[in-house]
Amino acid sequence: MRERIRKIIPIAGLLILVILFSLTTGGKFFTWQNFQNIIMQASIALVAAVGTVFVMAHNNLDFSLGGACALASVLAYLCSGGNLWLFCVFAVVFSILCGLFTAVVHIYGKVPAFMGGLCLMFAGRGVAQTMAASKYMIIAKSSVLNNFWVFLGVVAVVFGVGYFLFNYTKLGKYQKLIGTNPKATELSGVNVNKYKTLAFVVSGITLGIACSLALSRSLAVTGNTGLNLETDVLLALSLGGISMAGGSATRIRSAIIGVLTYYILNNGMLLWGMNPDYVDIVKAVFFLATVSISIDRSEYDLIA
Amino acid sequence: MKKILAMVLALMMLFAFAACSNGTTPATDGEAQADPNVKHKIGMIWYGNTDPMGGTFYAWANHAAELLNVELVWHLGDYTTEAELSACEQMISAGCEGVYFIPMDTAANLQLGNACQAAGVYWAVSNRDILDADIKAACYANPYMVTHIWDDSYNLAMNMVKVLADQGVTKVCMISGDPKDAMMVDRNNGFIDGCKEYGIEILGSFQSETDAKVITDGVNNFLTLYPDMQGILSVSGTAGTGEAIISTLEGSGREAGSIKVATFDTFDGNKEAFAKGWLAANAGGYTSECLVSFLALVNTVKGNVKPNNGPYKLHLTPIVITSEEEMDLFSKYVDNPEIQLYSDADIQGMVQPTCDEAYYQSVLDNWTIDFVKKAVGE
Repeated sequence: MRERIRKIIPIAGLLILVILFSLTTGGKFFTWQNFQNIIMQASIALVAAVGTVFVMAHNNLDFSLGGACALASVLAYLCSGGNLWLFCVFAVVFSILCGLFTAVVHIYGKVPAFMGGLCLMFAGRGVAQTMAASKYMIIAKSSVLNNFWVFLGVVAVVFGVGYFLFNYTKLGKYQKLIGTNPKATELSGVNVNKYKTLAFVVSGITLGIACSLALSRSLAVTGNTGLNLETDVLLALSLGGISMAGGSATRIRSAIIGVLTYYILNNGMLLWGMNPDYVDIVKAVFFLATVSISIDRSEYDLIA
Repeated sequence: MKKILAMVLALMMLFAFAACSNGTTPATDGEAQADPNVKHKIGMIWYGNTDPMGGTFYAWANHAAELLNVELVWHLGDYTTEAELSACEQMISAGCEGVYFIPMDTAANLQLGNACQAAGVYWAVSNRDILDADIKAACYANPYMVTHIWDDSYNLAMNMVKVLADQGVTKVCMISGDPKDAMMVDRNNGFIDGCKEYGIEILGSFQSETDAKVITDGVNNFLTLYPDMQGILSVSGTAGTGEAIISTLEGSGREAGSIKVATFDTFDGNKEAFAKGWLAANAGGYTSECLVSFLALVNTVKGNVKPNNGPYKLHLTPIVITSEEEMDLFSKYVDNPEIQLYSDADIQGMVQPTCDEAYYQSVLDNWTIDFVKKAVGE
């Protein structure tokens, strides 16, 4: 019963928020325009979160998202010469390289992936800020992608493909196996390092797509491109009830539930016109309440 | 899993159903009605309310809103165009008829401006020039852009050079700013042209805006290389750089006040620096342009007046402080959230059908230390 409640809380939290804001915002929440806003605002984090689930499933955390997004965007801009479509291609290429960097540091350096991710986060942010100070990197044409249907289509494809890969292919299933017991997985003949690396490649692909979506929202690559993306994604996934220890309990639906919850919460409080001094406090309380009920505690059973 | 998917599907259907309904739309359709009893709603995208400038404008705007029967929807703490755009979209959904913001990037003007135009919502900006000529042209062509205010750094820099010249300074060194930053370019050029105009020789220079260590090393180099240096011009005094200049001079063994400093941005210890004679001119005070931009937006949203020929294009020359007394006054009354420097009558005067670009510019031109003295009765 307790396990069932734990699993149902994230989706219940999302539904409660939807009902609450629908009833208390004088009809402003439940409009087509606001629905578009939520989808477009959540898309960047949602696309990045789909790839992050693969990394978390094998019990790793990727803290590089924001810095890697900034680095990949800067490099993509320089290589594309300001051409939008080339930027989209190069963003994916450089994001994959960022993912591979973290994977190499983790696998061959034998250090936790989040350490490599942190290095990339700082380096990427530094490069982006240095470049932004000396060059104005604008692609005005990227506004053509800043369209609800484009965002919805991208999210649907990324989530659909991610769902299929995660649940119906070796790529996803092995991530969960590795997260559950890496030693046993290795002994059963699975190339653990290969599948861990592939998880970072998937994360890189989704991050590259997120870079293009971020560009279409901001029109320019700046020192702040991708700022806080890693915290937004990890917070959202936690809200979505993802298993922090990875393994078989990891569900890709955590991405969509968590990201929507996170953005609907932000959206609803602004529609309420809540005093900004209290917004972060309410978010923290909601986050703590949801996570404390929904988190998988099996890995903490031995903590006194 | 099926149950969960069913619930998500139900959620999507509910949204789809809502899409077919007559949802609430912003009252503004480009021709707002001037009815004093209507409580208009303005969105405020603001960087934060914890530092002196942020807290002061937050307090000033809230006070003005109460006085003018306007409801404000605040969104604090975002520093990216994407985040500002998201906040703007949410404010439009919340029924805001106007949105005020400081664009964190030149592209933010275009993105938020387009979102506002699509929704028929007025918008206003301050504190930043628009770097890209194409974006500036597109923004100025946007019929919903009400105000664009930027800092007049060039003339301010010239004035600061004049202060040094009046004190007999003829040889200076200069700490310049990023040549890709429009505001810094104005400050650099203002210093250079001011030196030409007032017959001051620039002995040497280096570039740095925010690194206190670089500033300390650079000022030490000035002292070694140019023993006849009489003054230092600096484009920035924030992030510890103002303190670094003064502390380096104090540690140099030179007689106090033998080198005069003119710098942008107020900093800790500037009052003592004036008292000892090291500091000759210090510039600060940018809050009034935020208020004017906001009130011009309120005036338009209320339907009193609408700018013709593009937005109001205004500029502010921040305050130049030249003495310990003025610094004391500035510290006490400017950028202090407890102090309302603009009276209720001043605020109401900026929300009238008779207000135009020239009037708003005159308000900004009046932003001097004498205005502050008068406002606080000193």
